[in-house]
Amino acid sequence: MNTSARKKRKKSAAEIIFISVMLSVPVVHFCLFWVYINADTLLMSFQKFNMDNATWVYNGFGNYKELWLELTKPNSVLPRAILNSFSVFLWNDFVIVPISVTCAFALYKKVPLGNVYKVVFFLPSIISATVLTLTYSFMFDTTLGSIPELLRKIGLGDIIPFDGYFGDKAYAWWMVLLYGVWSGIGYNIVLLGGAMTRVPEEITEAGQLDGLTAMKEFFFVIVPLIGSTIGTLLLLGTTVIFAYFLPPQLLLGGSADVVGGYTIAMYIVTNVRSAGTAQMAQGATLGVICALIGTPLVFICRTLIDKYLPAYEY
Amino acid sequence: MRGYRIKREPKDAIFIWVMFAIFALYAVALIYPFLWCLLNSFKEAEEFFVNINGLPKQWVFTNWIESFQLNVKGVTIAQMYLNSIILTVGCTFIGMYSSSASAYIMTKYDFPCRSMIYTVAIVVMMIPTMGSMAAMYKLYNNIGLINTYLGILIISAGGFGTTFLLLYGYYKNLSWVYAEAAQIDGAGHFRIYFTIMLPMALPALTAVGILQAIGHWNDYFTIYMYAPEKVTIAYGIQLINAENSMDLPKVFASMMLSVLPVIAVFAAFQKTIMTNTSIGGVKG
Repeated sequence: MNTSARKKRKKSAAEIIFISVMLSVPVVHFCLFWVYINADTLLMSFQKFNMDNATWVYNGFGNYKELWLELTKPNSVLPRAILNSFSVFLWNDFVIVPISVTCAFALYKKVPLGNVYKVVFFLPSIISATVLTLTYSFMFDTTLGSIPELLRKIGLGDIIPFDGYFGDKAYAWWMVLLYGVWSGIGYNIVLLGGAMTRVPEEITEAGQLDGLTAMKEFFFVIVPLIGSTIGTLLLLGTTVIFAYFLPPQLLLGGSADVVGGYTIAMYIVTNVRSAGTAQMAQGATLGVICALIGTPLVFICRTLIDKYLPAYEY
Repeated sequence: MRGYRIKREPKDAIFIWVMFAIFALYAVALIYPFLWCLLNSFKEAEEFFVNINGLPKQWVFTNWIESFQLNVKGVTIAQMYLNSIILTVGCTFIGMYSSSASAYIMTKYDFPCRSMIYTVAIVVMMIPTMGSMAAMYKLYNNIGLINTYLGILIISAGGFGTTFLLLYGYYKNLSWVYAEAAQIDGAGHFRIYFTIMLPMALPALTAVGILQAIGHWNDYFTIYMYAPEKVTIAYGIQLINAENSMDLPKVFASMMLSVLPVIAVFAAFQKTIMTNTSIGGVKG
């Protein structure tokens, strides 16, 4: 009995050691890079950097006040940054996702050369954003690009902006959004296509024998059955509101603020990386506000998605 | 049921062919820019500016060799390649080890806080924490990890991201029978994990690892934020373009060189990559 109990205890100890060793790296990483970092972000939003003795000192709500002044001052980049960031969400959820679902359905309905298209559409997902943005910007370059060249050839040269598509306030942000469609729908199509192929053929074939048209099949069978995958893509659109950085940074670079292409993430990154230690608190403060607004927003969206696009088991 | 051929309605056929035409246009829009860069990488700089959209009159292959001499602040393309390889291999290995360990423990062992850890792992993924990079930068600056390989490798050691979720699903469905047999034979927990379960999970680990490796190879943001002196090929191409705008054919050659490894991996593992993406893979 004693031996058995000892054996049990020994086994438990070995198991505890194993679990502890295996979870040590992920848990320590999480504690340091999520818990500590976010706690310090919150703390930094109430601190300022004292340049005289290079230390962080308590600043009360000073950073929040400064951020409000920054937001409301004339010619501030922040209102446009907020507008642009939310427009990415709308663009993703109301343009990119619907286009992706329609395209994925066409592939599901066996468009000729569908498998070839699928591979081609997937290519932007594996190529670095740097190369993608460079090739995209070369295409629209007013001196080198094929698109301005084409416009000139068909007699529409007058509509080419003098400062180029990425240097003109009227075009710059639209070019960033267009890039999102160009580079982003391929991945969505593959993801949605995968979900559509998992819909049991028996369901669609039975409907087709009863005269189900493609349009009815799309709206009343496929979309509801792959609702959870669509929901995931819609939710991703919510999470990028505060994290949309790379496309405007790589396409518009340093002139993003001048041409109206700034985003919340660009403001935070610029304050953290380029503007020096004192400005880091400003970035942290905006980050805290984003988390306060973003977290309930994401959870509300999640709830709505779960309600209207529930996951079905089949 | 599957034997019957169901006739397409005329409206459906129109939809299919309209979409076929749209797809053809989109495919051209995706391929043409790369083809344009590729063709222009074979031109002399002088020829490029007078013959932008035509085929090279004289095919010059030296751009591809000479592009290796292009540099950003003394870092050549060859060194950027080396940095990319070190960080891609290191980050992928560390990230996979960490995620696999956490996914395995969470699915195969029962312990207090297990469900809480899982819930936290899911919930934190939905909280926007862009602003935390200020504290992160401050921490890295204070402990001297800015511009170090170690700093980047540590970032990738997280075990509760999307990789965790993918492996969690896989381990959950992985049979425990072999482990039980090994336990009866006296095998310890470490032995069971490393010699039985990991080899069994190799197909999933390979598939997720490929996606992770592509992601790390293409990673711009981490290097831009925390190690701009450890210029990788994904980060360096942008700088090379900014500093060599008068010698664009060489820039094009270096761009093509930067995507070649990824294209090669994609060609070799295309089915694995696309299948895993279609079941919920991560974006590279």
